[in-house]
Amino acid sequence: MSPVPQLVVADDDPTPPYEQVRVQLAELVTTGALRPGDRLPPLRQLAADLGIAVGTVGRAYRELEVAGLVVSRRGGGTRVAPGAAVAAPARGGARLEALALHFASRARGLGAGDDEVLAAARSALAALARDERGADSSPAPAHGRG
Amino acid sequence: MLALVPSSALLAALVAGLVGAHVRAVRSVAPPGAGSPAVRRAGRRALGWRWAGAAVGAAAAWAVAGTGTLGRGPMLAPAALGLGLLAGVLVGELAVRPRTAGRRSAALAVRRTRDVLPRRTAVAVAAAAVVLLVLLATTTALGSPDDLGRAGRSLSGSCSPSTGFSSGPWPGSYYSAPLAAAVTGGLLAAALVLRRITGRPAVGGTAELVDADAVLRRRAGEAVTAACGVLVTAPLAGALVITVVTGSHHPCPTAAGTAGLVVAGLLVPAATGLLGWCAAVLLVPGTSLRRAPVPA
Repeated sequence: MSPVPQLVVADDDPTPPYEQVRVQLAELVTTGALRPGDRLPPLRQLAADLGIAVGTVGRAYRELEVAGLVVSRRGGGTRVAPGAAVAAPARGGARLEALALHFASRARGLGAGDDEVLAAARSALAALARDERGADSSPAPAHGRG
Repeated sequence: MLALVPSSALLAALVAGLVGAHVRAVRSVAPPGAGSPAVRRAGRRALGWRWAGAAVGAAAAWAVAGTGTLGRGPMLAPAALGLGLLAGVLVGELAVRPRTAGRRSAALAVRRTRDVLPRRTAVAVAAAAVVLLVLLATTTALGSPDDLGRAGRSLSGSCSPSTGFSSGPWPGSYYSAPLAAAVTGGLLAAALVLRRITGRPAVGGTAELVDADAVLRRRAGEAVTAACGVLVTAPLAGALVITVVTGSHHPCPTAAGTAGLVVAGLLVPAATGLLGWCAAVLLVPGTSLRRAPVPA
């Protein structure tokens, strides 16, 4: 049985709570942690558990619905959209886009400008490349003894 | 003076039993080492409110039993007790406040009412409620005014044009109308409490806390089910006994009537047994959840 996905809302995060919820849910859908047809908790339940207003969760759900990631039906709750199945885990592009969106949203929340965000991304890529080169040039670890 | 010794010993044994049950209940709400201090605190607080509700319900039942005419007070006493129990559970659940500061996490699982109910006990209580409904509908239809004109308080009929028959008390509309109103009100209150149990904030969002929180919710659901059991089975057992006793005085019963009385007689021990089970569940939380997962 796979563990139940979780959401986190932090007061010290400058990102608005609705955006924290939206970004995390979008990531869970696009990475396949939430599958098409999976039901999301009712607004009141999630709002009570996270200690935020019902309207805050409602705004996050609405934006996800506009993005085509979830569908809401009166009396049927909110579920991961069937279309998200094709778009999400199978397509690397969508996953990458979601991860970039998450990063950009958090960076913007810290007050970083576009140039700074891009510079940070390039710096991270450069650091990864250095790590990979280092791993390639280092001697292969010995397996077994003797 | 010596005559007081057995009753005092009985009272002492009863108090000791209740204290022992309470200690066991406190320990069983959140097993030592399970969950976080927040879970244990929430469990103890909920249990405390449940006992307070039981005390208020018992006092209300005592007061109600002394009111009413011709046995209607004692008939409504279990409903007063049940409502007190439900109020205790509700206050205990309302005492869990949402976390509004710092870092909060929530599991993305949908909580459903049926997940917090002890399945077998809930099915048995629902079946008892249906039996009570059918019984009251039948006895109301068969009831007649008594010798003072009180509607639905006796069972009347005639075996021949020249001979009449009337016997009471009978659980006709004189009793069934207030009883049905009290039981319906109690069940509606239980539905509201169940809604609060599933809708209240979680005590935490990590996997361990979610499991511990689920146990607390199931034990609250168990208390609500048992309270409904008391609310339904106590008047059911009483109504069945009165139906059998008064109905057996009928001088020329029909085959269907006799069969109905036999079935009613057979249901008396079933209703009484379920009442005892519900009382045990209320005294020792977790009795009906032995197979439920307990936080490690």
